[in-house]
Amino acid sequence: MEQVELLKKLATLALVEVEEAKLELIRRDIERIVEMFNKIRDLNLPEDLEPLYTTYFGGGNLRDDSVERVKESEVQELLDRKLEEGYVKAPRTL
Amino acid sequence: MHSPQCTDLATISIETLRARVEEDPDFLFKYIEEVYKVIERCEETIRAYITLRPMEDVIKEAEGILKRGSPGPLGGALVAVKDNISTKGIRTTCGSRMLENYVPPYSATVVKRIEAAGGIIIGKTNMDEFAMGSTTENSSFFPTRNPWDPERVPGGSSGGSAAAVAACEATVALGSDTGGSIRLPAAYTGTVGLKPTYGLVSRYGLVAYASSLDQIGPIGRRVGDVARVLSVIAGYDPRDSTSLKVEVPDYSLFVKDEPLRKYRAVVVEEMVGEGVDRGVVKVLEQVVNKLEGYDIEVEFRSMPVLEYSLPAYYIIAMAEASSNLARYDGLRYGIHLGTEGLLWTKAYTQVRKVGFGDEVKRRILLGTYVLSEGLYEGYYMKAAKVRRMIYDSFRKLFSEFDLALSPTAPAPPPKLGEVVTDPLKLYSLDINTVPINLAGLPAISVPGGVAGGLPVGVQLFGPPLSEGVLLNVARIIEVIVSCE
Amino acid sequence: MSDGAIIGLEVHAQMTSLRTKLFCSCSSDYRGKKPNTDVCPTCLGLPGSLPVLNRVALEKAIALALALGCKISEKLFFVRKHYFYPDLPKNYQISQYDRYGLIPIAMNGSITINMGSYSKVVRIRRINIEEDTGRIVYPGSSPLGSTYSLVDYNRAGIALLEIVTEPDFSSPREARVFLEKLGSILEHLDITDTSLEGSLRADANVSVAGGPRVEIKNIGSPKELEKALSYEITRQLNILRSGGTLERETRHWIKERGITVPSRAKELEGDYRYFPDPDLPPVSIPSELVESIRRKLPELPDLRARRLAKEYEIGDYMASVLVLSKKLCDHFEKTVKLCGKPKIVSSILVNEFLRWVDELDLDLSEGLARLNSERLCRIVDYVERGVISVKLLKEYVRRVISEDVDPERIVESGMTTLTSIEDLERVVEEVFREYPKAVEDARRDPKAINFLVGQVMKKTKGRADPKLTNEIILRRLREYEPS
Repeated sequence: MEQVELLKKLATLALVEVEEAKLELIRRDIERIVEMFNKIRDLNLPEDLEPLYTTYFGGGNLRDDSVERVKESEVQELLDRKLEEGYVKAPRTL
Repeated sequence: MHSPQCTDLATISIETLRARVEEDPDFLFKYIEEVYKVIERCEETIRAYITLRPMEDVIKEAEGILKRGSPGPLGGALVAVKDNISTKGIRTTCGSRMLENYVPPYSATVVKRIEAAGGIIIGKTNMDEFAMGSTTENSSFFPTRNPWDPERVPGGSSGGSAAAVAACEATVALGSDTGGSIRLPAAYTGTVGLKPTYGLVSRYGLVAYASSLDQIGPIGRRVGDVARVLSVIAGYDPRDSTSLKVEVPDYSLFVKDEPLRKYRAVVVEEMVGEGVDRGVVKVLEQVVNKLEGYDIEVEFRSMPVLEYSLPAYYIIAMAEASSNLARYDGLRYGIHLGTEGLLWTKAYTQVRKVGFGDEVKRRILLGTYVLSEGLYEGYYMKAAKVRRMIYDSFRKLFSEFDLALSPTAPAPPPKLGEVVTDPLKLYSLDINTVPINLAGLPAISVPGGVAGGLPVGVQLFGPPLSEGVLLNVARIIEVIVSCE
Repeated sequence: MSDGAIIGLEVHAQMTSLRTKLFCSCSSDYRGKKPNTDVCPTCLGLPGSLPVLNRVALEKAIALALALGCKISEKLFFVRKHYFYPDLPKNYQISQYDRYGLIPIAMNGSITINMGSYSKVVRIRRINIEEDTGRIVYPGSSPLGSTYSLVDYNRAGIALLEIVTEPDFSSPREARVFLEKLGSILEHLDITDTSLEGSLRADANVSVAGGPRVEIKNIGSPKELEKALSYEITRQLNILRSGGTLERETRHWIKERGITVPSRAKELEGDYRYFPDPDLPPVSIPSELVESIRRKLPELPDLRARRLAKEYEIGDYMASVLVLSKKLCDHFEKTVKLCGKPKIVSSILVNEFLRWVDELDLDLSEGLARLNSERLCRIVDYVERGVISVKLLKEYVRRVISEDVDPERIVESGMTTLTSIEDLERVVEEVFREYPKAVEDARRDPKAINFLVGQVMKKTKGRADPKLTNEIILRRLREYEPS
């Protein structure tokens, strides 16, 4: 079924896995929600209507190029169970 | 206004608390003890808190504040903070297994401001996982119950914050609002909840759900409390690129029992249409009638584009959510599984499978869908165009009117389990709140009356930076309702 | 090269002159530091963290855009580029894009390269501002054997400029010269110190004979670029010649082995789901800002080359090679200020110095430190005074660079031009005795004296003055002629 294929592809893109047992339920929900989304997709809108991606019109906050040190201990506390010789332990990449 | 759990002392306003504490510092400790007594009595049922700080810690902090001399504008108020707002040294879970044991190494800007103003963080409140939900039933830990009727939901996603305030388990609370997550729980619990203009309150430290829609805002038992907290947390923050550089007034000055000038108000027809419960509409009608006694004229206008606000909102919110939640991979923080030997894609998938609940997974998948190559123009971009149309429509509306009124929620609070299993039903609770987030406008929900014995909230919203006007009219409604 | 090679480049230059990272105030000076010590909530991607743009990064990007003659966009847009990888803290990179109504900071510029016998205009498609990733290292010695990896986020969030060219190159040499020139422009603009490891990285797209594009990643210097491209073109041609087919793929350049191998990180390719970053609303770039940056632009390589050629009369080509490195060029001007003689100095630097630095695989800075202005001037002085011949000059330059010695030491060791006629005559006698046949050949054919001259040079270890040697040999040959 094409929908399940699509769901699996999205799951791979987003690294979010749905258990087999719940697959059908979630698929159905998603189908109904996409139907709701299609109301937007099927709208006929003028080409030159500019999309609105933010309602912030404050002109932009830029930062000066000066160093601010975060207290080492604060960040170390956070990372500390993950560290090996100061590096964060991560899964295999090869 | 105050639910059955509240005692007289626990119901106190910030203004009164501050005045009493300045007179007699010991009063603060009396108040703290009282609140913990209330919590002890009703938390088992209500379950507003995920993390409650031990009383000793709060007392110690109170001592520290008193030593400073003045208790500050918040006067020692006990502030319940939604669990998606970072608090240094205090666990911040976002209602999710993914962050079940995450302790941030830094505090959100709003938290720092609250503390500097003499507020004390009493605990972190329950919420729908990563703010995705409208009833707090999507919390990975447990649901929160409505203090007015424990069989019913308190609303969401800031359900814990609203319940804590309603049950007097805190003086005030902070929530976050992306599509109604402050206003809806405020309406359901008979409290006052305000979502500021987008950019008025810093998002630094707020765990992002949908960045172009999220805002932090206060929830209180009174309009006056909400105004005081807003004055403390609002204002430019250089750590947030979407933070507005504006003068922040003392919002308490707007909390007057009379209109500060002539207001022209409007009700948008689509917001009181078929999908709205008749009992709720009646409450609004009564409020509107009373307002006319204050020389506030209310007219009606139609805004047909609102029909598309719900799908536009969810396309945008889910897209941004799928992006904001990509960082949760268990690597630097969060849930830690034994993934040695696994390739990173497998390891991440494991972590995200266990860490995220179903609703979150659903939204991430859908968000990924609408952003994907080939579909972006049809979904996300188009939704953004609809967003432009809604924004322009409101702009036009507010060139004629000073504020608008609507029911906050389409119906009184549902029972637990009633809507959460049907996503579309759940989403429809937001029908009157999401357009406001899409346009970045300020809005406040204030108790307007009851329908079938349950609280009904009235939503006021206006053009950007019109919080003063909204607080003024909200206070007037508060007076109207209390006189009944 | 008539192999129909078509090459395009994607260059990533770190803005090493910035003090902080692109979107947070962490120090950008990460080299040599202990891992994970220059990090904060933003560059670690902690929940609730937000990016704020470094003002100077924008200004430098505008400066580069102006230097490359690009069209600068009126608004600054950022997008999120999504993929999962342990060195990417948010699992998306903040970058720029050129679709959906979004544009990068600059587009449509060019760089002209001087190849000696011809010039070429290389078109710049776009310039992006984006953030760098962290670094992955592997425990133990063999990356392939390890069951986990290690990440250092000090580099995560460092400001990068991505410069993408059209596929205008037809040879590895052209690509190399381009990368050197781009590096020089970045140095002249005080954006990047290209001598820092990892500050200038290139990916190349190469196809031959109209075949599919192959992407080569992980190239760290202009020298490597030329090597990698040469290798790859040969590899592709060999496959075609033996009847095989080529596939569109991504390959990895392995410097230590001098080869490219198929890339393992296939899982990275896919749908990046670009969309405008809601945490970074569009920022207006006022024309006043652009103009003020334009007014303050320093002397750039092309202008500098013209000035050098004119001021020092060293010729266009010589000047164009000098400006390929700011450090080299600065060194030239400094040396000439000290002792004049621009023609010799430039010739030494371009013809000798660069060659030896390349052959000895030395860092340019290190080479310049050894052949500093004082030493260089001294060598020039020796040549002018006839203490050493032009031929010995090459030897002197080589020894100063490879052994880091003062030229005075070399003089003391006796390596000066042998100009004593007596000594030379003696050596010529020896050579004439040892090679009677060659003498015969030379008598008949004057051009054949080169062999004899060569032998004299050999015996005197290059010290013999070539002019004098020639004269003496010719005289001796005439003397021996049977009348």
